[in-house]
Amino acid sequence: MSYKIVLNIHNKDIMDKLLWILRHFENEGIEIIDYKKNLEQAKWDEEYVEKHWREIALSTDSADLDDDERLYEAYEEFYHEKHSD
Amino acid sequence: MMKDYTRLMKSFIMKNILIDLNVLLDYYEENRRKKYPDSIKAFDFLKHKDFAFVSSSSIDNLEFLKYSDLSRAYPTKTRKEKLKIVHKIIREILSYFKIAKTPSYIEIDYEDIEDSLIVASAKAIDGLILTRDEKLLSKCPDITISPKEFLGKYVYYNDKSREIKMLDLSREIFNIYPEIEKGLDKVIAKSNFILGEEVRQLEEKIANYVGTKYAVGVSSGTDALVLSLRALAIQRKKKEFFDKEDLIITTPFTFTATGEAILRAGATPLFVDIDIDTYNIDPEQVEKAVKKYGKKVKGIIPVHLYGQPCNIDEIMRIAKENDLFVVEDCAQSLGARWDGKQTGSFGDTGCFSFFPTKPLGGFGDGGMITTNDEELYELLLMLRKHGGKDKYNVEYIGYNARLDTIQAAILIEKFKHLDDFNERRREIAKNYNEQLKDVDWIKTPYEHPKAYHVYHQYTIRVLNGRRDELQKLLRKKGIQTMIYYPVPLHEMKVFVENGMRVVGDLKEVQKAVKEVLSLPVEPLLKKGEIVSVLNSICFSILIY
Ligand SMILES: Cc1ncc(COP(=O)(O)O)c(C=O)c1O
Repeated sequence: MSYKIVLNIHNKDIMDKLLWILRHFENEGIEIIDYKKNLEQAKWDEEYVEKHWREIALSTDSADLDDDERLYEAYEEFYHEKHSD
Repeated sequence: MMKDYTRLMKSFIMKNILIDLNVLLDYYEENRRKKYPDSIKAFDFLKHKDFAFVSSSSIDNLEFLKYSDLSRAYPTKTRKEKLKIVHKIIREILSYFKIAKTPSYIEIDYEDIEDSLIVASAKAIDGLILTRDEKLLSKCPDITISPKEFLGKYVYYNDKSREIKMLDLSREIFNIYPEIEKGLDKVIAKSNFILGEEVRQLEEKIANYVGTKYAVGVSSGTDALVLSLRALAIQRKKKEFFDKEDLIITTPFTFTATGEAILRAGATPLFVDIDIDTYNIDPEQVEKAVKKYGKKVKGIIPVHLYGQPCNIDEIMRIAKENDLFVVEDCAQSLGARWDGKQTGSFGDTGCFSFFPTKPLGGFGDGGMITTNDEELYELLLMLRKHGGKDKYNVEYIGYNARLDTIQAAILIEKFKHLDDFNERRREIAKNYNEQLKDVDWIKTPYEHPKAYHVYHQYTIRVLNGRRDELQKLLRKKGIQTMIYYPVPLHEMKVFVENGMRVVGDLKEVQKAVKEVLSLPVEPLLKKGEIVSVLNSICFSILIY
């Protein structure tokens, strides 16, 4: 059995401290999988996009593209949204 | 087995690469980058390469797929915000790679329309699809390549068999293909194939550029010369053709078309020697010829060889003093200037060629005549169209020698790049000059202080008598070179048997024929490729 916690931390200092503490438990069975900037928080205005677009782009987790069913759903969603703008 | 290997190797060499959507997506997602490192390496290798393309059909798929991924990762973001990110990616991709069109000759496979589109795109550019898609790889093994295979075999074979060509026309064409395609589509849609609007536009552009009142689009550089001479015979002799006794002075160190035109206009070529420094006709020899043959001499055809203007001041002075016409052979010199004035603006006419390898080259034959003389202009218009003002009002023995609208449309687009390409060739020449100036058995080209040489050819002289050996060595190293011209006109049967005259012993021509060697001056040559030519020459010096 294993457990997973996903946190949103709004303070960089606290995140650093938490990470520091958690690292002490790495031998007891805690595995730090990932921690990253929450890019969703900020407003994606021109300036922010200019600076962070690559980081944002790289951070997606694409589903298996061979799954046609999901692909068509996404396709429908995209064009539905486009034409209802 | 052996046969298979050769086929494999052949199918890789010098092929364009069309990057499939999956490889593009790999590049822009961290997880996929880790999972598919070969995609990333291949993408990085292909950035800004002349032979790397993405299919127009991939672009909107990329937009929606990346958009969907972003939607899943960032559910609170608006459509506008997400699209901003996607469009950054697309812009970056299009800054690295050219677009390959989706042509109309698609064989649609209804099981996978997307694949049909990209396969059709690959055929349009004679390319291989770089893809991770196993289904596509096994369905179309002849036109696909996986990133792994690409990094291994493709890069290896192409590096080993890399050839530096004199010119790389398909590289040049793909470089500006969107502009050319636009021109072609316009003509095809209107189907005004004979003397359409584009011919008139190009004539106007060339006349403005060269600095003459008129320009007439014709079917080739050769026809430009023939029509010019015929028009001059009509104007000056009031006869359809020159007479056999009429002599026209030219250089024997040129392409055969220059002399051929004289014969076709009824006259006889009078060959004189060249100035070995410029490879152009020597005005002193012209003067000698005029003195020797007097009134029989009717005109001069100076050739601005390799893109370097002749000493046209001297030629024009001699012509004026002796009432001779001057037809400038500018087949190799569009954009070259003498004392700030364009070649083709000095003589009675200037004759340009749009043969594909020329400074301004079409997708076939074509040419242009420039002139300031209204009477000649009117005659040229008639001669190129069967000899009459209209079909049923024919005055002269004419030709069907029109420039095709479709060629004009292509040339209009390519013309926009002419000055830039001439500058690039000059830059390459400068590089060669600097590196070769200290080799005592190589004579680099001389540029007259009044000349703006456009280096249609960069031609050296190999002074140690081992030119052919050097050419062979360079060929082995993958460097293409050419000899322009191994046989001078006065040694060709057609001129010998048709009464040609010769002044002096033409010893400079004889020397040039044995010593000249033209090196690659493709305007799109990269620094590294220029260095590679120079290294190969240096290497040849060592093992000589
Ligand atoms: C010096 C010279 N004159 C005339 C021509 C004839 O031009 P074209 O091939 O367009 O007939 C050429 C080129 O081919 C040339 O190099």
